[in-house]
Amino acid sequence: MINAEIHVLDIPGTLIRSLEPISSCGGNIVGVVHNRDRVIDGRIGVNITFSVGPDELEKIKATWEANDVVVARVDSIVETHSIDYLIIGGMPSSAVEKMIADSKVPVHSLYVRSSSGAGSKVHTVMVSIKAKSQDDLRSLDDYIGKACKKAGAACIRGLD
Amino acid sequence: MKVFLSGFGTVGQGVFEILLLKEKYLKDNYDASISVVGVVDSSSFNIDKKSLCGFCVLATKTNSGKCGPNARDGKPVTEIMDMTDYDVLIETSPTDIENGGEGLANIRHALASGKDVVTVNKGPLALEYPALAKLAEENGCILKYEGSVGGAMPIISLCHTALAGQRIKSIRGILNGTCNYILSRMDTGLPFSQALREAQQLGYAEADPTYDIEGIDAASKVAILANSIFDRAVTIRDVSVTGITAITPEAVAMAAERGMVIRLIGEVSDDRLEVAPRLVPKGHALAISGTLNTAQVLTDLAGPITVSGRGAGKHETASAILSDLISIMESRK
Repeated sequence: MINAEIHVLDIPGTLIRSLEPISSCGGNIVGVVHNRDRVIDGRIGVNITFSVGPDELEKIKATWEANDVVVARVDSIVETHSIDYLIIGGMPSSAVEKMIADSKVPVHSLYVRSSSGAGSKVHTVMVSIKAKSQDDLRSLDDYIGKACKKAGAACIRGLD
Repeated sequence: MKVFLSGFGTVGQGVFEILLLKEKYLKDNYDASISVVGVVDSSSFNIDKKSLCGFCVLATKTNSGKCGPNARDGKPVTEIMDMTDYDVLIETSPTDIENGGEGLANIRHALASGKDVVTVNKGPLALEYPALAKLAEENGCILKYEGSVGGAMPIISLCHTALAGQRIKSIRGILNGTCNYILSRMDTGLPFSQALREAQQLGYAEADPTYDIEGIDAASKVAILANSIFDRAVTIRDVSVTGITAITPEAVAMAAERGMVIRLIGEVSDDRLEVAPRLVPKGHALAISGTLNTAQVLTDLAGPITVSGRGAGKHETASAILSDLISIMESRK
């Protein structure tokens, strides 16, 4: 999924024309927001969210530039799935991070926070994981469950 | 309709009380009456082939601790059941989750004798549901057990009747009020041991709370739901069970910082059959506090449906038994 911020001339018909390169490449437009209240140098900002193949994106950008459309920003939006865990037991946060790395499952983002109980042998670690697919999360969930069991730690899973 | 009441503790007495309270209602709405022709407790029994006097039996129990004048003297309940003619066995004897206990023998005996059965006894169902369902089918009997999962919470009939035609993808629920009370109190900062002690003082937890806090009670309900709603031939031994004893105040506080609470959740789905503490976002239907039971049924057409009710209690559980009796009465018309 792509999110692009473009600036088009504030002339009737240019907004529609700016969307044509996406549809002509077989792209799927899922959202268009334009702000007519804010005209800068005779142009208005248009935010477009669409899905398109990687090769087509370059063609679209080239077509925009050729048609006097200013491309301010192009970002890719990654759909993620998340799950939370609380791990209670003898695993400090470093061990939890290593466990997740050892799983070899690709993780989009990872948040790990440990309790501050200094000197305590019982650690409480909050983990929030984002992955790109439910399958990745399931694999990770299976791995974490087994690893915690092996380490004698209690693993409290979030509702997925 | 003649019923035989096995087990005369809190729930058994509640059934008798409700039958007295609802006598006119049953007459007015169903043109029927439900007569108790036999009752048995751990040490005594009472039989009247026509109908036992409810007030008399309840008074006798209150005054003497016995349900009738006859001592059991080691007689099995099945032998006493055979002393009278009845249509439905109401099985409310104490749950034995190890081997089903006398309740299992009673249910088997009734079904094999062609009698319908209403039970709130989880043990026999959690251990032998497929065999009991088969026995009922072979003998043309009806086996009902609404009160065995969630007491007054009508989860089974909801799935079988109100949600008929829909594919039920999963059921997740708070199926043990004791654990939910303890975890709710831990939300306020109490350590586990103190919250448990408080639950015991209030009568929410048994003196030996093992079955509740280790998740075994909830697991038996998960097994019943898996069999009844998902048509899976499983027993409690197939359920992955984790209790709540490892939960610390620190864990509860960390969950709260992230906008979540910890609840003991039973789950039945295509790939899960488990009871475990889970992180539940505050505001979620399963983030409730107190002793209530709550279940969320995820369906293909209607999405999530949530049902809630008191998971235990004399008249609460007896209400589920009454509902099952009426259902049998309607089916047998």
